[in-house]
Amino acid sequence: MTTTTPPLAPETEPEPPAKPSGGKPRRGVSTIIVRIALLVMVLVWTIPTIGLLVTSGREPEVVSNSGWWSVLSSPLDFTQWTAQNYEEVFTARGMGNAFLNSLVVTIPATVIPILVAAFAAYAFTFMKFPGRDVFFIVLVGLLVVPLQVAFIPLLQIFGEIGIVGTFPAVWLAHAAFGMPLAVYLLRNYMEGLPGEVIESAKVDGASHFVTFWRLIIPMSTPALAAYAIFQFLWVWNDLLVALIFLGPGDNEVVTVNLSTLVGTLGSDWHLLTAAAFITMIVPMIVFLSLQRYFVRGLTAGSVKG
Amino acid sequence: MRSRNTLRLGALVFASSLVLSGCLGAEQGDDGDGGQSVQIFGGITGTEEAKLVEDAVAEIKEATGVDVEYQPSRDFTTIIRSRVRGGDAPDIALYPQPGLLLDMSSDITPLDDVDVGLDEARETLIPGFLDSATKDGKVYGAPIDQAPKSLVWYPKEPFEKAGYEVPTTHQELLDLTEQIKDDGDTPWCIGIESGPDTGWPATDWLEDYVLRTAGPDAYDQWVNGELKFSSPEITEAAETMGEVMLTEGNVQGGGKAIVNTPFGESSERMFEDPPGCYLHRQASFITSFFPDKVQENLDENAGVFVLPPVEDGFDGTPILGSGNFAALLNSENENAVKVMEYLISDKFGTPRYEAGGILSPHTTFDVEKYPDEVTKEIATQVNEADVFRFDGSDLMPAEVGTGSFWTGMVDWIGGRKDLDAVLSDIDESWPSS
Repeated sequence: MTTTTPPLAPETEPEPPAKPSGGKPRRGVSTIIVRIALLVMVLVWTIPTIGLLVTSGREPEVVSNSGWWSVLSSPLDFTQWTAQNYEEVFTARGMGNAFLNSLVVTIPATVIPILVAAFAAYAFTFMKFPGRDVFFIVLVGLLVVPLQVAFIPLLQIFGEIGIVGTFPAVWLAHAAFGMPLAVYLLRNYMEGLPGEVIESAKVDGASHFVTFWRLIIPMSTPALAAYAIFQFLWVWNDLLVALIFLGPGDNEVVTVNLSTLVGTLGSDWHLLTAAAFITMIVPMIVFLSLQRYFVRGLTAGSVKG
Repeated sequence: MRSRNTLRLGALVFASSLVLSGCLGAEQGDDGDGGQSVQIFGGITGTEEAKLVEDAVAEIKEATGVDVEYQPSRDFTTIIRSRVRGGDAPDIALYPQPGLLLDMSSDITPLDDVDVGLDEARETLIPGFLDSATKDGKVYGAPIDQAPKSLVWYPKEPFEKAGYEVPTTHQELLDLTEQIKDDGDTPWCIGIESGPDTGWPATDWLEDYVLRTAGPDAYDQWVNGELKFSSPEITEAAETMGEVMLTEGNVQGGGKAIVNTPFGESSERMFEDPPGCYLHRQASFITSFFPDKVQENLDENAGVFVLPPVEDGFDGTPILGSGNFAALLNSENENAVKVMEYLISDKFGTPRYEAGGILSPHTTFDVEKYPDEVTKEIATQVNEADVFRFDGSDLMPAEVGTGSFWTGMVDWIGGRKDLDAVLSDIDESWPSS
């Protein structure tokens, strides 16, 4: 998260210094206002999460009797904290298996659409073929098709092939529904790449394949990373698709497993607080590690060796 | 340099994911030696509860040699429909509501048509249970457990210390309520909040009183839609219930508090010192919501009696209950038929019943196997009951049973509408056909 702060600082600086001497205090005031505004927004945004975190470390009976903020008066009183919720979630039935399944579902469901969409975006941007724009419009138009309406027909098709309840079913569903946005994003990004580079590659005799792998992919890293983050988070946090195409059982993913932690009549709901944090770990790691590409790619310009 | 690395990283990730999936993406279904495995899909979830079902299912595997897998989902009622329509039906499904089961009867193999020992089960089951899953003379499912609902809980020690006695008639119950109030305490703890299902505990109250004032025959007509909510019989039952629930001082905070208190939490106040109340009417499964220290020694901390009969009403003690019904969705899987036979027999479920809160639906189940005196007492009472009826709201059409009946009770108890308006509203929402 800290990496976002440096680019912010120079942005506030170029303010026309009307009077060389009087400029400084004014800039100080506006910086303070920006800082305060940022602070307020950060606070408002994170308060629910903090509440969740605090709740996850408290005894269930205490939680139902007092608000989480009541710990603020004596945060160092360690007797009120407990790791019991986390322990129960970690040792819940099938949790380790579900975690692996989530990775097995999420990684291909992120890689497949990126790969295919990158090919498609390249074709839509740099190759000339009849009906190109029509294809593109139709594809992007698919963005408005809601996932839910496709469930029953998809289930029937998958049922015919016999892949319901297996990983390829979810990969295909996620890949297909992630594709329009991916193609749209990547194509628009590639459109903005310097055409001379591609032209000169062509002059040097590079094939489409070489141009794509050697030039376009490296130059598109920021867009690819951005999309990868979105798709990864979406698939990782998805419950609906996983529930319908994979369901509970041996192949269940983390979200499905977590939803069964809560008892039939709503008992054990307190486990969800701890569970929320455990599922957050992986997306956090992914976001923080990919964010480097994200920011560097955006700022560094793309026509460097 | 960087680009090369990115590429390599991508390839590595992709390759490793393929390898991983190759290892883990085991097909469900056929299984080497034991023949076809059997999937059981159900709505019993929770760390403890689902584990107990798995333990119970493991016994089937031991007894029959068939590989059985239990798949729990909180969204059972919605997922089961899409799975059946998508051609991915489980072999056996555990329906929490017979209403839904009968709705889907075209996808279910009637138990009369397969060899699952239905006649034996019919003899050992509590009379009346199978009727809830019967349509046009065919039985589509059989219960695998039961939770009796006509129970009133009390905090044993303070209750006895105060010199209160277990009432045996409705009048005695009202007298006890007055006595507790005269002693300066609150008699009842009632909460009907339950997230999106808010209102269901109140429907159980009404059903209990319909059984007690109008009797089981009227109850059946009412559940089938032949007797209106606004009929004199049902109105009288609701008034009797209202007398207990809504009389000033009977419940702390009155109707508004009842509507806003989570049903599970409402029972906790009973075990405070001094008790926040002395009476709580709820099903056997409420024990799992009691504070841990109460659960540790249930027999010493909690007492229970059956909601007493109403004078001039039905002559006898009726018991209201609920349970999960097993239904056979894939009769082509021979092993599923085998598993089904075990599921609906009185042999199934011992690990669950030994944990308490849930009872066997079979009268032949050995009462001594229940973990505590409280549960044994409940089981004996249920076996001796004159009449057993299934939770009516689970049998009514979904529009009413999980819709207007719930919201109607909330409107009435919360004081937003009067009883007559609520009852005729519910009548109007009953689907016409």
